[in-house]
Amino acid sequence: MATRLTGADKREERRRRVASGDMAAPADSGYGIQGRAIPIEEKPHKTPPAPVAPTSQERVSSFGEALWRFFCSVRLAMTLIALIVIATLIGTLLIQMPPELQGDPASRTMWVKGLAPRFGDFTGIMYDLSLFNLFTSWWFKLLLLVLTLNIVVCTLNRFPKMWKQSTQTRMDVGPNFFTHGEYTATIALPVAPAAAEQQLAGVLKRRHLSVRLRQPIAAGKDQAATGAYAVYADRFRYMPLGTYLNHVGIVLIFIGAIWGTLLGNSIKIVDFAVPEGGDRAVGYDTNLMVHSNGFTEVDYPDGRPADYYSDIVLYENGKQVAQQRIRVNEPLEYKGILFHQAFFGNAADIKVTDDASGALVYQSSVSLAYRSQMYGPNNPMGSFSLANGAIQVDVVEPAGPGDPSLRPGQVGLAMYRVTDDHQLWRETLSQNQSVRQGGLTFTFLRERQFSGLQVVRDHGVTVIFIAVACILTGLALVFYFPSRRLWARVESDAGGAIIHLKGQAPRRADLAREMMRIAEHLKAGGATIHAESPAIIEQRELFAEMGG
Amino acid sequence: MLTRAGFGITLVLLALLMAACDSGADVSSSNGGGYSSASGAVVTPGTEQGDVQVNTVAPDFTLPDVSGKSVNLLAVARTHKLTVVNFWASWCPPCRAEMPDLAVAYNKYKGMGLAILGVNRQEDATQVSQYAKDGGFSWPLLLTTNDNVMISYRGGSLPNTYFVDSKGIIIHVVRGAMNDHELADTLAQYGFN
Repeated sequence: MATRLTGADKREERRRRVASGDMAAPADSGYGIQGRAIPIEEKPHKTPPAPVAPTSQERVSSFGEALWRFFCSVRLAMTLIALIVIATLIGTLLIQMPPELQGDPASRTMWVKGLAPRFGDFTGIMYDLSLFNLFTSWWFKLLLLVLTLNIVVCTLNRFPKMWKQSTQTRMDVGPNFFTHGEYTATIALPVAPAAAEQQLAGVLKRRHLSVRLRQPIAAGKDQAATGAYAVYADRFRYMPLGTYLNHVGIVLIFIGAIWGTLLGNSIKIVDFAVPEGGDRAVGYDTNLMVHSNGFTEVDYPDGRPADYYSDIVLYENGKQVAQQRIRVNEPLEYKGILFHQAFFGNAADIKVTDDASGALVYQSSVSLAYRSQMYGPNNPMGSFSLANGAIQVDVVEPAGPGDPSLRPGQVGLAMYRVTDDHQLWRETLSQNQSVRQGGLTFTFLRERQFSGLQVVRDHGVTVIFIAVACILTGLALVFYFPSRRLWARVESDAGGAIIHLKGQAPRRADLAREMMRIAEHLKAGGATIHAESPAIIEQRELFAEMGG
Repeated sequence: MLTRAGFGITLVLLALLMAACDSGADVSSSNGGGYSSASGAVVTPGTEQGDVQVNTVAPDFTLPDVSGKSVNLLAVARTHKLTVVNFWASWCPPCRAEMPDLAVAYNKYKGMGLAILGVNRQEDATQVSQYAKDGGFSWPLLLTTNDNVMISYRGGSLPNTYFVDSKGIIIHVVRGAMNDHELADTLAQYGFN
């Protein structure tokens, strides 16, 4: 049975058809210029045919369309952005695991254990939810990936229409087009239409508009147009496409953020401590080693820091490849890896010898670059490994004046079995003092300073720079170079000519002012303004008030 | 396409992401070994600001060492080619870090006219002597009960080291901890090499 659609049904039907791409959404409704909306025929629905099972190709197409529509959703974008903002806030406020610990289960466990006093029973759950390595967690990357897809699909979906708007504007329009609009004017000139058209084109060019159409309107095409001319001019017509630069920029930022993960060759060591006179390998298959010739800090007389720097030498496969005095903002750069001065502190020289053979098992400066509450009130702490990583020895020094656990000049040593984090023993040593444990002799030789560096290699940074350039350029194009379009129809009128003008532009383009100036130019050539739209009149009044 | 509001939120998100990129540096490291100031030096409150100039007469002082014996700077300076006046405290990590280097230099050059006077900042004799014994630091470690001497040198931080010649003139000042290279280079300038 035939049914008639109600108004609501029609709106829903229209919405559905627009969403599915059956018809173009009218971007400039009412004018019939850009969107060329197709009126919906209010035909009664026919009885639907009996359902037929979709073919496999149709099923694929339908699934593809559904997926495409899913990623086109602005609601999805807003939800993802909200989730990422919340996650980023959490990750910014919550302590995050140093990147270099994330690949080492023993160090990771120890680090998380150190958080237990702060987060109590929630520590494990928070760790399982990757809240302590939020920015490298799979779910955070997934959010970024889906948002990237979302933006890419939305952009692709809208691009053909935007491109058409910029490149295929309808220039020859009918007389009704000029009867309404925000920016319209009617101007009479005491000259023939051909001369008036000539004068108008000259004015438009002087106002830096590109005149793209100047042609007589054929009588057959428009009965009322004998001797009439159509003129079209625009400026910055491609600039609305700048919004795509923004989109590209945003996508590039996300790509830059996960670039390191994709390439797997990023380096970020934020606590690269090298004792004075000591060496430390960079790792990450770089075959690089940093040697510190010394750390220097210079103070003002009142104790305020004036400067601090390290003199470092870089070796690659044992061969010196660079040497430089580095500061916070004067890093050493080698093969894309930056070595920044970041912090400094004390290190403890520890020697370990085998009791049976007398052989040297370990001798190095242990940088006390961390803080721990495991041995006292927030003591500086470092550690070293023995027995191919099976044993870890923590080294701590006094937390400050009044530390009851250690006297100044002493260090605490604690040995752990890495597999189960079981403490094997704990001792306190003064300088030059030794202790024998498990067939080994541990000696605390002295304290010295270490240079704390930040070692960074991130190719994603280049992508981020390009992304920021895209976004800034896109914003500049969209906001500072808004497109302006102007149509004119020049007709003969009682011995003279009459020009119908109409413009379209975003508000920020200040088209009212532009049209006022065009009218003023024509007026100077003998024209009379017959009518102007309220926006232009307001602009004219404002101009007069300001004494223009 | 994102709405304008969505674009704004995205920019905020990007700002947060960028801020978060550096958060690791704050949380993973202790920023050194428990210093009281952002630098290695430990700022001592209440001391006068300013500077003691090189090539001026070293403010004289007489202070007791850990055994109670009085030590006068100018008396020591006159009988030595170079006297190193080192302001320190055992709870000051950079002070402790440079002590072994001072010890190496002292043991090497004390027979050649090098003297070191360690002016401790307001710690008790037992603590200072224990620290000296543990570390094997044998030069006079002088005790103070106030910051008068430190103020006379206009030193607002620890460690601070003044090199005084045999005429009692300050010929070199190092503010902050010295490493072994720095100390060796400075001493070499005055004939200790």
